[in-house]
Amino acid sequence: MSRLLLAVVLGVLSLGSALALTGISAWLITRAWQMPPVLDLTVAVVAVRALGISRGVLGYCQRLASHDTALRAAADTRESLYRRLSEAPAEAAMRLSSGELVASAGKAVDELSDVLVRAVLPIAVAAVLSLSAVVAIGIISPAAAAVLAVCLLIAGVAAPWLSGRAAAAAEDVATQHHSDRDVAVMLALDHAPELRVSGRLDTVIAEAEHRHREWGHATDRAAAPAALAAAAPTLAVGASVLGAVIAAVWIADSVTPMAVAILMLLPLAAFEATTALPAAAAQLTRARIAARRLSDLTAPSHPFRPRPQVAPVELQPGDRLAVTGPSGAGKTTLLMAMAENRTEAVFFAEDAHVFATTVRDNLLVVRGDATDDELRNALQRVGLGDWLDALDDGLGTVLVGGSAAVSAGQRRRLLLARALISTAPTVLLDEPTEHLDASDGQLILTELLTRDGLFPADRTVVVATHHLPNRIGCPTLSLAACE
Amino acid sequence: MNLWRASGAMRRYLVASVACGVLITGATIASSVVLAHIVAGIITDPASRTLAHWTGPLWILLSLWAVRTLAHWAQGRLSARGATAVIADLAGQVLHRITALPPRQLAAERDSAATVITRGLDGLRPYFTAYLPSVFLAGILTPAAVVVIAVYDVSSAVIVLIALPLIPIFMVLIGLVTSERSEASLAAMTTLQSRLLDLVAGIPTLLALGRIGGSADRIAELGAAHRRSAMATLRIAFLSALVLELLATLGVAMVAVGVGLRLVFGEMTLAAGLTALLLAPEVFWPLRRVGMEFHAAQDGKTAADNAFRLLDTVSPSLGGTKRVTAPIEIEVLGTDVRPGSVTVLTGPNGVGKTTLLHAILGLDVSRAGPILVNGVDVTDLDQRAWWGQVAWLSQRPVLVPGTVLDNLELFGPLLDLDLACRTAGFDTVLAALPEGLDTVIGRGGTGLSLGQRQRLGLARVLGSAAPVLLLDEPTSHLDAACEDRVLRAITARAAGGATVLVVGHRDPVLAIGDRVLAMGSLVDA
Repeated sequence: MSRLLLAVVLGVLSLGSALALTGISAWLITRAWQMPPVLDLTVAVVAVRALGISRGVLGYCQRLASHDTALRAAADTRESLYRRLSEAPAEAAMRLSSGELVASAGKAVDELSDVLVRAVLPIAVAAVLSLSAVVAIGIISPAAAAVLAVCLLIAGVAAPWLSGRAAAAAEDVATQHHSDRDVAVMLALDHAPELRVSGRLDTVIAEAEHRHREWGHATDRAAAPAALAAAAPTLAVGASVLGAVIAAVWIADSVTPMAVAILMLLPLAAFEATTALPAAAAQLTRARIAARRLSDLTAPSHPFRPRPQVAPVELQPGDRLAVTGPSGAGKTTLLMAMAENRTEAVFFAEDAHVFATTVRDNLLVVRGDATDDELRNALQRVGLGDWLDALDDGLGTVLVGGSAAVSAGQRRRLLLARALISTAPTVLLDEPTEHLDASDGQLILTELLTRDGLFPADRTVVVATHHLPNRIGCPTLSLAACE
Repeated sequence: MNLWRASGAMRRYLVASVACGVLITGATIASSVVLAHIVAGIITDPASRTLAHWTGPLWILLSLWAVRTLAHWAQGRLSARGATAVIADLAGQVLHRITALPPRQLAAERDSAATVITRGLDGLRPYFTAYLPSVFLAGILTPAAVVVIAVYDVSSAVIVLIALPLIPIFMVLIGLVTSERSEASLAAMTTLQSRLLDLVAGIPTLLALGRIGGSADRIAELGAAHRRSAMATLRIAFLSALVLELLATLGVAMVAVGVGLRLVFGEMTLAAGLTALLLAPEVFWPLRRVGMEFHAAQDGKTAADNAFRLLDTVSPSLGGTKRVTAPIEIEVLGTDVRPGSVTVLTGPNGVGKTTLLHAILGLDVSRAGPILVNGVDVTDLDQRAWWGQVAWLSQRPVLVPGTVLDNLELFGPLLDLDLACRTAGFDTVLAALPEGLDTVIGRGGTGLSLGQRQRLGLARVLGSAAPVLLLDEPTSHLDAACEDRVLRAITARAAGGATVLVVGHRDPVLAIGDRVLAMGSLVDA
């Protein structure tokens, strides 16, 4: 809080320098026109030069102070978001495996922390400076001050309100049209060859372009108030200058020429602080939306797909069980339910995350005290021995971009190595051989489902797969089949 | 100026923006001059202190401010529309160009094209609505204001002309001195940011492994490190803003002091002095706007550069004018894929089986020797005619937005729709759909699982009348019973005279091959 206050004070002083510069310059020139002894101008000359420097320097300090505050706020928001996510229901966390969602959470945090720099700070600074300008003019001419106050309200309240409305409308438009357009674009990009062969590509691209234009036109309509908001400050400055000139004509005989000059010229500089407010209002609107998005992300009340009921499965230590069935039959759900009901069981998801860190840390995530030899042994057994040997830094090689650094098959094997390193009495493996060559996949499945194969005899292993090798002698639980 | 060439919408936008810039410049300068003369008149001539005396100039002032306001509004509207048009234009061009690429090239560019079209190009909006208008204003208003100042007071113009070039000089100097440091801290910042996101993306995994505990503290540490490196970047980045503001304000201050010191000796009139004082800020503020909008515009600029890079990709020209008629024999890898039989193509992952299918379709150049269709090189075939004769099941069959029937008939009408659905196991899926064949499964095929999708893809290929069938792993995502039925249907299509090429690994698939092509070697079944 004190940091924010410091930033506000610096901001007021910086923009106040600009306001004072205009006022004192007006005084200096008018006084000089009266041709007094040069010494009478010394203080004003020095002040004008000093203000010319202080404005930029104080502005620099204010920027640093406010961004430091914002970054601290962002770090705090991120940490608390992370804590909330890690305590949220498993389904909420599961949705995070989509990178899109993670990125949008990251963006929402940034929007929220930008509120301080882009909204709270400029609003506070503008309020203080507008008040100072009105008071300064009010001393010379209350009527002109009243005109100025009204104009400042137009520039500082009405224009930002319009701009906030435009931002909200733009966001609405984006949520309405964004996914339509993206779906059409991704359809074309993902399946271009097939669409070309079937002669449908042109139709699909035309559809994408049509969606794009529709969104653009909606965005344009939504932006109409923003253009008004951008023009309103110009109108306000003009009106306040005209008001000041008319007031000056009335009172010019009763006050000094210097006061007349200040009265007419100060309004030109009084609006600098309010020019930032339309953007501030837009930022506030976006932050409100971001806050809502973040709370949606962790809300336990989010309507989830109801879980299909699965019959409890009896398992003895050392059992091997294969769960089969086509995709969508509920294999994953069954495994997750088993993991929840058994404290000793660990679930190895098909879409588990490969961290953008070293190979070693990616394996140690299962069991922190595993030795390098154990890790190498596990990699060897899942068929990654040659791959490991080819890496520049062996276990210390960083997988840049996480799963992007490995092929789909290598990723699968790496995740399987994690399961081998784990010492959990029961391991639940979801599609451990997806994306592997048929022969390798069959071999590994057989090894997994054989006692003393990949896992020691006393461990319990449950494998969900849709391609079970023939001639395998282990109990099989078959979920909904093709017929 | 790549944009100028690329888009007609861009040219219209530029003309409108420059026109608004000229209008704003004229009104701004004229209103400053008029105001300076009114202020000087009121101060110097007590006889003029009546509203009646100033009616004319006040009306002029009023209309000039009205023009200025309208021009600002028009610029806002026009630039928003221009941005929309240019973005749509570029996105469409990129989409056309990228989807015409051979599949392998497409796969390589797919992600960057998706990013550019769905997100990146939207970043061009601030570039068009804020940055470019301020650049135009800096190019029109700044020199015009300097000229008018020179008309009224040469010394003030000289002060401004000294300060102006210092701005770019200092900015370049600061850029040179700090570029290395700011690049390093920017890189550190990006790394930290992606590690934060990485940890968030890993929450489900960490939860499943029961290792979530320590990572929250790790997030806090990373956050603090991120702030420190961000501040290091910002301390440098804000230096250029500092120089800009310092020179702009100091320039105005020096003009004020200079004018004051000449007025005191009676060397100039108050009106000329005030004109110079009022116009001096107008010289600098467009430059300050450019500085403020510069960073916001960079994202859009980067996106535009990426778009132009994508537009510059060249696809090999494939396809000719020749046509072939059924029965069709395809010579590939030195072997004949004959009509009336099933040929299975097998080999380890990544050896190029799918790519070979693409080459047979004429979508890509062949990396495995020439491919002849009834003796004609596939690259000489009329592509549309050739594709009309092929039914192709890709690894992830496409679903177009529309009804189930639309999707089933994607490669042409089915001979016997019911039979096709039955053999592919799609009949059970169809029965469960609320409106059967008329069910709309648009928007990326949500509503169908991977397995259901595969069956739909199979139904449309197996049921089509095409004389050539290319099937890429037809039985993935299917269970044994389903697989068996599909394989029998494939054999039946071959028996009916079709030329069938199947890519597969599993034993049951290899078993239906009248001949099996192992990529690299050749084995007769």
